[in-house]
Amino acid sequence: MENNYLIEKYIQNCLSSQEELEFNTLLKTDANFKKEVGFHTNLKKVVKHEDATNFRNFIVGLEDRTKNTTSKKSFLKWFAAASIVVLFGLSYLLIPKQNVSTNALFASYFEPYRNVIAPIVRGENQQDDKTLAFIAYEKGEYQTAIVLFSKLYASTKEPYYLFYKANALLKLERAKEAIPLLLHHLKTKDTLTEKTNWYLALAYLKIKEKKKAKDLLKRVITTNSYHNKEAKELLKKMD
Amino acid sequence: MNIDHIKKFIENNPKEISKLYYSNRDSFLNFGKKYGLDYDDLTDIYQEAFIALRNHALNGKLDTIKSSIKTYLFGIGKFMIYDLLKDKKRTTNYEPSLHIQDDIAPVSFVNEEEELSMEQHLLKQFFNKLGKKCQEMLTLFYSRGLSIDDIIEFTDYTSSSVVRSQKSRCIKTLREMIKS
Repeated sequence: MENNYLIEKYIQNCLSSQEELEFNTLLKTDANFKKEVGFHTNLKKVVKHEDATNFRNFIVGLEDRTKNTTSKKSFLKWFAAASIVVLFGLSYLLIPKQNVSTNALFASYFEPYRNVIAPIVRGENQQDDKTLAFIAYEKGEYQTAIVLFSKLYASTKEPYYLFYKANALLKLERAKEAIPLLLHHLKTKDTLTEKTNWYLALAYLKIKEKKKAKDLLKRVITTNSYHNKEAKELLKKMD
Repeated sequence: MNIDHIKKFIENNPKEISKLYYSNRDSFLNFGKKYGLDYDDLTDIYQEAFIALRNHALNGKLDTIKSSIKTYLFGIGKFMIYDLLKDKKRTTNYEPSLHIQDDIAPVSFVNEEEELSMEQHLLKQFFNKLGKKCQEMLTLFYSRGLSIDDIIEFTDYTSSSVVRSQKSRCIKTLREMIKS
């Protein structure tokens, strides 16, 4: 009971200095206590992570709603202005070019590359880390997939793990972290490297590095690589 | 800092959070314009700054802050603007004096979000299977930093023994899920 009280205070960062001494001694001498502290520390991290993710999703939702409302309002404003112009008998209108946000373009063009490494057949796969990683990836559990891809890349150095980890990061809108992996992947002679420029272009688009994104899209087009048709479309929309 | 704002983050009432979010959004976008960033950049920064503000509120960093919530939020935003400008290599020096003059002091922010380990991922899956009441109870205690007595203040529970036994039951359920 006394120990539970210490753990509770530790979790809430409010141990007194006397309690801290006691806590550290128990941590060194009592294996069960140490295990218990580990459990509560993990739980704290998980709960905080979930709470933060839910809050982030809520805020992103607020912002998306605002942007939609703003674009509707802009349309209404434009419509009102256009009506006035028509009333005044002008023969044509100069419609301002629509400024599509880089986020919206990223969202409409990005799709995680399909799993071509470890095809998942229901009931027939061994539950090794590689299979688990690709199962998580296919199920959309990208956070789990990222952890497993990192582990697998560290042990095997197979370049395709960089590619898939970057795809999972992009799906979680963590383009900044995906970019170094894609740049690294480009230097390898992996069978998937031909597709990397497309994803790298999208990653730069996501972080609003438009010039880099455009250069890469041009490269995708000139080398006739993966998604060159989409690259042409996207390039036009970015101008 | 007004304690009510900190409470709003702890209570996490969607209506109150939205109100707080929108009450400073437009003025921040105006404030940020002078740094030459576009609307998308500034809305992204405002979102991140607001999320950071909440982290600071939950970690107790706002308890001793004298400035208003708006000044503090803008301070975080300003720090993030400098960070983005640095990324874009539009500037090489971050002395506030070299930038546009205003009364907002940048507030540094460190992204504390870490990746979960495999073990924590599994625990997360079990946590998500708990009932809503248990998830709420554990969130108040582990994430929002409320003590057992604080939880009484923020919820309908009437005594610390009830809170404690409810929390224990939730943890017991979680442990049973892990074992099975």
